[in-house]
Formats: sequence, C-alpha cells, structure tokens
Amino acid sequence: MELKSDNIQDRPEQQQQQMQQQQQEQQEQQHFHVLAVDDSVIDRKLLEKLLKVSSYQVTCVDSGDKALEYLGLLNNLDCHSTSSSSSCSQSSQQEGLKVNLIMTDFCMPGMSGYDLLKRVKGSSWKDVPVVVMSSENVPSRISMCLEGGAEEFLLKPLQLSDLDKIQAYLVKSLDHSCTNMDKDLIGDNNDNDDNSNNNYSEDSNNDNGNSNNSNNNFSKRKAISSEATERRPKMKGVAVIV
Amino acid sequence: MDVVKLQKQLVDYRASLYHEAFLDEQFTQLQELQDENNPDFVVEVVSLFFEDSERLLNELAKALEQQSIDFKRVDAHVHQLKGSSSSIGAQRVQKVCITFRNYCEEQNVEGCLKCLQQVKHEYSLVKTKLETMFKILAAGGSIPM
Repeated sequence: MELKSDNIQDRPEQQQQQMQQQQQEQQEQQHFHVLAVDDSVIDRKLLEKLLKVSSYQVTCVDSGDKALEYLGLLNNLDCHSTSSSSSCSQSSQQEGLKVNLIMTDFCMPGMSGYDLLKRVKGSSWKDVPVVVMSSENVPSRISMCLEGGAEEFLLKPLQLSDLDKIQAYLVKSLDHSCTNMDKDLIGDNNDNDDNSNNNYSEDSNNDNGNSNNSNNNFSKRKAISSEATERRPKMKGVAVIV
Repeated sequence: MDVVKLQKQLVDYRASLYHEAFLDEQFTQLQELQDENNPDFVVEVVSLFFEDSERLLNELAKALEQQSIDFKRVDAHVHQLKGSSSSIGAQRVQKVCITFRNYCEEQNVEGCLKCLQQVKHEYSLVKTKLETMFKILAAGGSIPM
C-alpha cells in the first residue's frame, strides 16, 4: 500500500478526503483496545503478548467480575439500552473508555466466560465483539457460546494465526463506532445484512491471514460481513451480529 | 567461549527436548513471540509456569491427603495445571494431567495418587531441561532461529 508516496496535493479533493480517512482508519486500527479476561496468569501473559505483537492495546483482568467492573457494568444489573439505564451505563463510554473487543476464557472460577458473554450482550456494550477461548474442544460448549452471541470460539493455546481471525471482527466493529465517516458506506452495510451470499472478489484474498491493507477497508467491510457468515457453518439459524 | 559450539549445543539440546516430547510446537510459538522489546519473554513465561505449577502441586498434595477428598477441587487444580502446561508446550506434563482428570472423574484415589507422583516427576524433568537450556542460552547468547 503506497498512500504516502502519492502526491496528495495533485488529487481531487474528494479523493484526498477519502485518503485521509483511510489513514485515520489505519491509525485507529493500530490502536484497537482489547479487554482480555483469563484467570490463568500464564495465559494472560501469553494473550497480552500475542495482542501487543499484533499492535493492539491490551487490558488484562483475571475474572468476569473485574471485567464487568472495568466496563462499568458491575452495579447495573440491567443495562439494556432503555432510556433510564442507558445514561448510567454509557457514562463509562462517555468518559472515553473504548473497548473494541473482549476476549474471555470460558472456564473461570466464579463467573464463567459464558456468563460474562451474556452480561455483555445484555448491556450497552452489546455491540462489542466477544471471543471465547477454551482449552477444551466441546462442540456443545462451542455452539452455546456462538448462540449466546460470541463472534468466535478459539481453542487454546492461542497462536499468532488465531489473531488474524480477530482482526476481521475489529474492522467490522469500526463500522459501529464511526459517525463522521462516509455515511453512504454505512448505509450500504446495513443493506447487506440480509445479503449473506454476496461474493466479492476480495473474499479469496481475505480468507486467511488478512492483509493489513487499509486501502481495501471500505470494500473489505462488505466482504467481511459475508465472509464471517460463510466461515461459521454452526451459525445456521442464528442472527449474525453485524 | 566458543560461541559456535555453544550455539550448536543449544540447537541439539533443544531438538532433543522436542524429540523426547518434553516440549511441543507451542514452545516454538513462545519463542516466536519474543523480540528485542521483550528479550526475556520466554524466560518470564516459563518462570511463571514454574511458580504456578509448584503452587498447584502443593495444593494437589494437600487435597489428596484429606480424609474426605474433594475430587472437584482436585480436578480444578489439575485442569489449571493442564492448561498452563499446554500453554507453554510442556507436553508430557499435559498428558499426565489428562489421565489425572479421568481418575478424578472416577473418584479413584489410588489412580489420583499415582498420577500426582507421575506429574511431579514429569514436571521436575521438564523444569531441569528448561533450566539447562536457559543456562546454555545465557552462556551463548541468542537462539539461532
């Protein structure tokens, strides 16, 4: 990707704006903030390193309760986006707390990763993608988590290649946080929600090892929402959170 | 200090650890995560593993000494040990943990005690091996990848 080598001044204004937006996105991409939840000190250290190596910001906590506390959800049992409770649960968001992804272990003493998942999905943080991890490959557990709203279920021990899958969800979540960006594109994405069978040429490129190519970000958004559905056959009949 | 000799010694030693299944590819992953910003990453993670394992082994010994054994508690500890050994690639320790958990499920005291001895043994073996490897590392510098 050679944005910087182009002569920006020579390009028409609209393109300039687009390029600036792309550059901004690139920077934001590098500062995605992940909340990692795991009771094992070794797994926390590993996960933190994996995420940092992939240029994400990381906050690690050792329990579901601590995660809820961090998200400002501990004292608010019902954090649905109704008018009364939305103000208190959004206050932590208004303070500038940004969480782009939550990664949680499944088996934890006290609150399990699944419990945490349900709490998050029932709160004002429901649009934040949640990834569940486990050392055990139990199909019923996996479907339970996916049906509970988890984006992905990863088997431990995690490897760098698993982080590629995560990147897809983070780019997707950028759709929800952008307000000033090209609204036409957001409109397009909404139209695509029902259109899970779109085949874009970018799909094959995006399959494994997503390139960090922000150039394709705008077109990548569409490809990823359809790709995400295709990649998870177990999600039949379950609404994909886009 | 003949660095080349040391490096060869290191490579050979490390290869033997994989060959004898003390370590598996997860350990390689750890090494791949290490970089100039964090040159002690592997040593740090492994040290955490040592501390954590020793704590768990003590807890296991205590739990199995009880008059009335709480197998759920024993299982929880073994589960943790299995997880951490898997995370650093200590394959033989992990394997014993799997058997150990089966005995917990069956509430088989003898089986559990046997496994405890086995897991202690495997743990001390891999600990010695890793410590030796770190010594060679310290003497010779970096691991040629």
